[in-house]
Amino acid sequence: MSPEPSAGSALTGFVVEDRDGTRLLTITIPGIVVRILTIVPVVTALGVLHLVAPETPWWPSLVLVLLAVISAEVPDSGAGLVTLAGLVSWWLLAVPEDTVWWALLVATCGLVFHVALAHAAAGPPGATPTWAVVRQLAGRCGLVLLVTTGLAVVVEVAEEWGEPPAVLVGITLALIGILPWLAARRTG
Amino acid sequence: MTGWQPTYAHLRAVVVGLTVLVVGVVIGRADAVVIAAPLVLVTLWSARRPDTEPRAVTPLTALTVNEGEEVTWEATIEGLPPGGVATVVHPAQKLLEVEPAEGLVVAAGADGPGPGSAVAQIGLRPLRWGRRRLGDPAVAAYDGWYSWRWGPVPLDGMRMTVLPVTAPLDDAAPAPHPRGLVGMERAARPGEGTEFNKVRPFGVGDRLRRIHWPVSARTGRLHVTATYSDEDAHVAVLIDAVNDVGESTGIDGDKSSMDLAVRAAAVLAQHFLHRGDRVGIRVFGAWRVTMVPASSGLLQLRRILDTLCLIEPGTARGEDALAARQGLGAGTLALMLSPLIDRAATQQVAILNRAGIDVVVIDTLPSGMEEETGTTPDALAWRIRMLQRRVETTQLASLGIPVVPWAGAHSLDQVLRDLSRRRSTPRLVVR
Repeated sequence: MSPEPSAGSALTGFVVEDRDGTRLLTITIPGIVVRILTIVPVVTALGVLHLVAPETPWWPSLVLVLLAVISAEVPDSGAGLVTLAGLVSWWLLAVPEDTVWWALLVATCGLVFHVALAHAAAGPPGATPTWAVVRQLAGRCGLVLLVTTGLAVVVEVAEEWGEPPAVLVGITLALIGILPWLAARRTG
Repeated sequence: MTGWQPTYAHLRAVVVGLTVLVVGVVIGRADAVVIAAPLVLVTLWSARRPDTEPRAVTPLTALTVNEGEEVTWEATIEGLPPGGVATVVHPAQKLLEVEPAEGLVVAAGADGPGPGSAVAQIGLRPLRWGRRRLGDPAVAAYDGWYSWRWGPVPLDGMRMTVLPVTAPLDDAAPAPHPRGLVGMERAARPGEGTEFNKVRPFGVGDRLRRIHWPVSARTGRLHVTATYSDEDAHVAVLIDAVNDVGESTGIDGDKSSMDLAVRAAAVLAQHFLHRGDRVGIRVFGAWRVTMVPASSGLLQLRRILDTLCLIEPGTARGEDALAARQGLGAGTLALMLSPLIDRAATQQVAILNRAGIDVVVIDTLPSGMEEETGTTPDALAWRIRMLQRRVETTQLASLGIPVVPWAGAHSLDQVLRDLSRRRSTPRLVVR
């Protein structure tokens, strides 16, 4: 096989090496983006929490942000689980009543945090995904959020009407039932 | 047994998703159910362990490239689960640029020739000549939600031979002592060639097409056009690899004395071989390589470049200074590439000069190395050595040996012209 020019010849990162070639620091654009997508959703969810429940103390939120930063640095560890569990627990403790639409936003943040962290753990933190990978992840997340939004609509309607109508229950069950088929169709 | 293992992401989705869902249902919090829903869906979507068996192969195991040339290393991963991805990481190495530096994540299908396969292309750019074995790349495969991991498995690292760059030398000056049978140098003696010598009377054996008809008609006797024969020269490139002075940061950065010597040797070899001359190299101070006998042709250029790649400076010391003369006769053009730090180099130059060999010393000390202003013992020792070096180069110049700093392809032009002019001057040599 003969050498040929690389397809991705544009530099995607900044590397600092010592005299022996050992990397001291590597900053890549995908690495920065993944870290932002790990920390910002947690900060956003905590912002929503303090908007909904303004009188709650700040220190647990600061701890959670710190945990998110740690998770971003060591994505292939249990730090992400602790952060996500802590975020949801803090939400359930701090927000007394059901707020479905705010909860939908928090659910979106949780999903983005989870997926970004999972992607960061798939290799070195600055690994560059191709556009096909990004499109695929975005499509899957969109589908999941679509189903979650459907669920939130059902919950909201059920809360307003007291008793959920049979049609909505049927639609919800159909959505849940259709999901494996959709997944199999998309991936197959 | 399959190599797929659950990841922390799977654990996170399962534990947080299902726990929050159960808690929400138990305490009657609809918002908890909504928050848990995406994680539960992800858990359900990736609940099944993939049953494929990925395979990763790379077709490249050895490659020869030039310094600064960018090449693509490729790995093909097959047997990925539907919607799966693969992460491919090529390790970094000193004086090797890897792009993307931190690895590449490719998707099955979209980034591959067919479903379940992906091709990862990583750019490699070696910055310095030499022969090296690159580190082992690693490949890991994941399902679509990064819930299951296969690997990482190492692939075979590549053996890379990096040839020094051969910038074209635009040098029209002839070699001073053409001696061989073929070539494009004008020999000192008449014979079959192209360059005009004189018109002389016809002799036995002269070709009829050489008859000069105007002179023959004017004089009444047949005259022919005589030419100088075209011959080649024997060029010996001598490389002082006893020391490597200065720091090398690759082809785009600072150059050490060995960088300058190797690249200059490559340029000179290419230049003289393209002219049809016979070129050989001899290396002092490197353990694995000593010499390439003189020959001509493009194959010889490749042989020389391959040999230059093997030089490891400072691995052999204490060689006999007389070894420089072996195989070199009077009339050979010897080009000595040296930073002139070790006294043995100066000694060898003197021995060659006494044997009637035209020697040109090409100074490969990197610019700025002579100026040392520190007051530490090391700095003072270096300054003393630089003063001694200056005296030695002056002595060489007094012996008629030109010392030319290597400043690119044009460094030798005037020197070779001077040597060609000087060759007609008689001188005493030791036989």
